[in-house]
Amino acid sequence: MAEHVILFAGPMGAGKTTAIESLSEIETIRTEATNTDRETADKDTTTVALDYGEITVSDEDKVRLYGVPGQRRFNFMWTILKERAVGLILLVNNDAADPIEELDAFLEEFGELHEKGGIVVCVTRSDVAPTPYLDKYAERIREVMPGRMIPVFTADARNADQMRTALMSLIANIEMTAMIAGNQERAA
Amino acid sequence: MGFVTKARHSLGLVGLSPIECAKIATFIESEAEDAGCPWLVLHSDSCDALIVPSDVEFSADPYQVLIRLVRFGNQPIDGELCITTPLSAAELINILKKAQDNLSTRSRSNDVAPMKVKMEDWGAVPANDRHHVPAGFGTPTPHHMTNGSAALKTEAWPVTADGSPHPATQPSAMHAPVQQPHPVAPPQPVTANASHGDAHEFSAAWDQIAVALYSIVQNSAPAVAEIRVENLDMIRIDFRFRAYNSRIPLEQVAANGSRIAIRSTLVEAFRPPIVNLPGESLDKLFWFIGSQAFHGTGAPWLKPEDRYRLRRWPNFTELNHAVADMRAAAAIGNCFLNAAELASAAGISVESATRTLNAYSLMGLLEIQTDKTAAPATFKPPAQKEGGGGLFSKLRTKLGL
Amino acid sequence: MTEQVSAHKDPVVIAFANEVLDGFSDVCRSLRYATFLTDDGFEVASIAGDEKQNRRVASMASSMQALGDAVAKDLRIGGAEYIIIAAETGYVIQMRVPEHAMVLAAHFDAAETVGKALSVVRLAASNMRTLVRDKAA
Ligand SMILES: Nc1nc2c(ncn2[C@@H]2O[C@H](COP(=O)(O)OP(=O)(O)OP(=O)(O)O)[C@@H](O)[C@H]2O)c(=O)[nH]1
Ligand SMILES: [Mg+2]
Repeated sequence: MAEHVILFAGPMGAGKTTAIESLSEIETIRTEATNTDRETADKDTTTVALDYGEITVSDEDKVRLYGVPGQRRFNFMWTILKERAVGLILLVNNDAADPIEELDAFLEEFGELHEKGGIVVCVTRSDVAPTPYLDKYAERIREVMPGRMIPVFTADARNADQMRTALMSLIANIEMTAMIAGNQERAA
Repeated sequence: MGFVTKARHSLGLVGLSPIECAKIATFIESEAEDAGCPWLVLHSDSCDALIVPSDVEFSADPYQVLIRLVRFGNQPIDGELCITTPLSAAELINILKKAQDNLSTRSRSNDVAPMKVKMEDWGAVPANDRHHVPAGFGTPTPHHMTNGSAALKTEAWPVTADGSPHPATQPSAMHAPVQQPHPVAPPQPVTANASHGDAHEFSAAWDQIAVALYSIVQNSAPAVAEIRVENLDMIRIDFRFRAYNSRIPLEQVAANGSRIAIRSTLVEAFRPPIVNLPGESLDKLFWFIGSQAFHGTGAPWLKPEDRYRLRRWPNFTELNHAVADMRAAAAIGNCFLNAAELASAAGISVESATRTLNAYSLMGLLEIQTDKTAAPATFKPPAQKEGGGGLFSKLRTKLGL
Repeated sequence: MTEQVSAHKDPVVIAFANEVLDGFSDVCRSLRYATFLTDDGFEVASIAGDEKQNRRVASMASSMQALGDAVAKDLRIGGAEYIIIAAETGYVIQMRVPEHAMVLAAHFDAAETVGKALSVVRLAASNMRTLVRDKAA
């Protein structure tokens, strides 16, 4: 069976757990603990190990969705979960104190996943905080990862359709880059 | 009238006063079409023909016809096409006919589509993100910007003002931001569709709307516009905030009626928005119009020999998109392609690929390949296709998309 | 309402935790180090270990506790009471402080029997619960 591990990363409260919940076909596995850091994200619980969900595509294919904890204290989980991933959906909540800085930090940590497959950035909670605008994200991505095409969307993690668009775009981009690389190899 | 009205050439007004602009637009509306020379007046200095005051230093591109406006007290320049103030309709039409002859002899030599709007280097233009505050925001507007209009048809709606001061300078600008309605299409819905045999065919008038919108965006100066359908202000656009409001869903707007006009004007940066913010993202409108207009042929500002690449992905979550669009974006996001190459890479028809390019360019998402010697991108459809396709296709089936 | 202050920032709770940990090391010589942590992985108090190490243990223990809970929940066998990791030269036991969003993680060397270690951990967790509950009352 071919396994496709897609990782969901991003700052605390960006909506990783929510996004996996929106996409998963099975009851998700969660590791939520009572949140004591209300300043960073005002919500009851926070992920301390991982989230897990899946979509069974066919007899041979399963898409495994893993969410990491957003808080850096848990970065040992980042290392563990990064290992098997072939794609990343990076969620950044627009209402974070400095969302562009968060984008930067997470691209630094997870940017290597672009080489392993691909990355899509989803800006969440833009209904709560309308700025920064999407082009600021696109601009920063161009700066820190020049020459890479990383789709950027606004998305509500609670909206399954929008999260599907992000997931499908990620996969389309992964397959297309593989195809282009294949063609270039053949040409060379 | 048995033929479908369609502008053959675009006319740019550069450095003219608002009153001069208004007069020219009105003359063209009232006279030009009947005289057999319909023109599309644009906010752009990259049109087929330009009217520029004789005392303004200006060099036109080789493809352009330059017409000099000789104001009172100035001398005509030898060997150039001129019109003199006070402007008269007859003189204007006369000179436009000459310009038209001029252009048609030029185009006959290389047999290309006549109406041209140059695609600027997008690097200089702010990305079309939603509610983007344009570079010109709060700074003086470029002097060559004019009141733009897509003026093609003789039967104008009641003209609210003629030669009155620039609306943006009036306190009432907020409520009546645009003047001089310029109907784009004649009130003859069936004629426009007949030749295509498709009741849902986007009216040709939208082509002109697309060109007008494109030229406004190209100028990246603070502007507002209003698209009227059957005399109703249907869509309000505030380019400063990259936002629009529409009375009814876009699909219905397009299906509704044939008398379509766009009116636009510059507006000072500090004026209140003419849309209810946040409104809808302008990209949504551009995506819609761009992919519907031009009947699946290339937009006039795109060159068939050029290749394009995405500067960034469209924000699909806010666009009415199909799954195939993601594949197309993935293809053109990763290499420079023309319409045929895009079609083969994404597994779509050349027509769809062309529509996609039209929309992306209107949205300001494309960059042009500068290295013309680069080898063309060739795509072999993925070999795995017979085996049920890749994960994308399977997931698409699975999710019922 | 004063309960709102989270454990790792509440000086009273921190003092209790230190008190319990002191008693803990007295009764059990094979204890290498121990940490009280919040469910979401903040260190409340520790004995031994350096600061950085303790913070890291707190995060990892919190992840582990949550994974244990997730497995138990998935198998529908109730909540995870304690978790033991046995390694070559020692083992780690972690246990939730009953009724509180807090966990005790303790590291013993191999000299101790698991049974003894488990019972002292249980005692320490229970003492902690009593102290915090009495404070609230
Ligand atoms: N208003 C609004 N709320 C959103 C949006 N996206 C997600 N949310 C909410 O934001 C919160 C996100 O919380 P989580 O899903 O726990 O975030 P997380 O990324 O898993 O956070 P950690 O696990 O703590 O790192 C949830 O309450 C969601 O319902 C959005 O676009 N708009
Ligand atoms: Mg989470």
